[in-house]
Amino acid sequence: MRSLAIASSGMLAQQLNVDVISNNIANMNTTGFKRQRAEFQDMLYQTLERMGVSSSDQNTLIPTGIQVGSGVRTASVYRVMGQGNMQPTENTYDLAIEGQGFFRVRMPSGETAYTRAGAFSLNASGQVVTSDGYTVEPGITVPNGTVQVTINQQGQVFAKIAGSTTDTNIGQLDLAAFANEAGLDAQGSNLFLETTASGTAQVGTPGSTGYGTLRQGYLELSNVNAVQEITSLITAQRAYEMNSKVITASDEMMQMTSRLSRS
Amino acid sequence: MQNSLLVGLTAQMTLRRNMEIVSNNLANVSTTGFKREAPAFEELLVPVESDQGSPSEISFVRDWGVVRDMTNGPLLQTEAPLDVAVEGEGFLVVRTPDGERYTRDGHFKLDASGKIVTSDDFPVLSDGGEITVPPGQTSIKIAADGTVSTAQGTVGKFRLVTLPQASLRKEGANLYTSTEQASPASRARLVQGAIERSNVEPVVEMTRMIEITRAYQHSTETLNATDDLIRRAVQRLGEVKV
Repeated sequence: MRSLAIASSGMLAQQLNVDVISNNIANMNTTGFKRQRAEFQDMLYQTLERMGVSSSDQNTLIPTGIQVGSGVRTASVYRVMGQGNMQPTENTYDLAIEGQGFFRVRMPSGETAYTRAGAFSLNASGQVVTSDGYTVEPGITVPNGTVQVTINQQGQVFAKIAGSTTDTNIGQLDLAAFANEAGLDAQGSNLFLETTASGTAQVGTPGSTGYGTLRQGYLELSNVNAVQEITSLITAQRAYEMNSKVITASDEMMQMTSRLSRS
Repeated sequence: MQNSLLVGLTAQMTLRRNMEIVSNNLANVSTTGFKREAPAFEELLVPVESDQGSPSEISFVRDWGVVRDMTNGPLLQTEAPLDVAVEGEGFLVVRTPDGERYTRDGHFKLDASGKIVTSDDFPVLSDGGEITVPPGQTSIKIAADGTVSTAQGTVGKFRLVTLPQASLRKEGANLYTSTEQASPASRARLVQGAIERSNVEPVVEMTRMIEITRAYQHSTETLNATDDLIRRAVQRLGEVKV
């Protein structure tokens, strides 16, 4: 019976759906995390009786035909790039992006990765680095003897050095934007890599058209909405249950058939 | 005697097919833009010989088609700029290697060259062909009539079409094909940042599933009874009294 295979494809799909939802919930407090969504498609159809075939010699046509589907398959799991909430941290090197864009991070391999988690700090040589110690591009070094660092909304970094009355501009942070952010390749540790689907990174200054602005002393929380995730979890669980009921019912039908020949 | 077995057989065959359609609906309860289906049955009258003079008729069951419920599914907000939901009667047009196909699944993305494509990388068509978003554009707006624009201006307009319902055939992967010519849709609009969910009503499908299993059970019992009858007849008639 086809319905056994159809229902099992439905159960597998819902299992993946629950996997995606549980990852979202697990990352509810991850800085800069973007929630994911599983997207499904119907599988091939088998045409048992063609529509449009004549049913008599008077040119009467079968209007709809019989098509039986063969279940469901996962089309994609994609990231929803909506803005997360801002959380004040009062930390000098915590930066949140309000609007579009990613910070550029130089990986140890030499590749450039992109992140929205702006929990930065300084390393031993005074460079601005991520929590994993990777340099934030284009590379900003805070000079010795700095008392205060100010980063404005446009990404300019000013240092107030002890003994000086004026702030010194020590660099400019920039942001990378993509035509299709959902196409970025997630690497874990809040990092993304560019792919052909995302398009090439377009680097620009924060605050210019198409780029967000920076907020010093804030972190962007994840955009996971607990209520939404829990309701999707309930829906997924119920759908899983219903598909398993289909399996039981099909099994019963087959059992009845086999009991036909009891003599 | 044989006829009641055959009538039971036609009933069971159609019930099995019915079950397959129900299970496909339930499997696709989370499929974007999925439209639920229901089989349609008819009575097939077959004349049989009778000793009463005039021939009598017995009725078999036959499924003649699948009816598709094209009502709109609920909208789900996704906030993705390239997710569009079709509200009302209409389809978006997609170019596949086998020709133009129609879909209500509006989960799109950009490919490497900036073209708007489906999750299977088929380009989505405007009146003038594919829609390409120029590189470096980061904010894409899609209006209710399908106009796609960026900060640099309009880049294209999604083609929205309607097709006679009876001519539509499902192809899988959320695509439909049709034997008829598509005409521009007048009663459809697009919603950006949302997708249309499946219109399968789990309660309806579960009830139908129970109905099917029970009907199947009844017909099995009828078959069993007929079988008993035949067996007993053979036994009784064959009994030799000494």
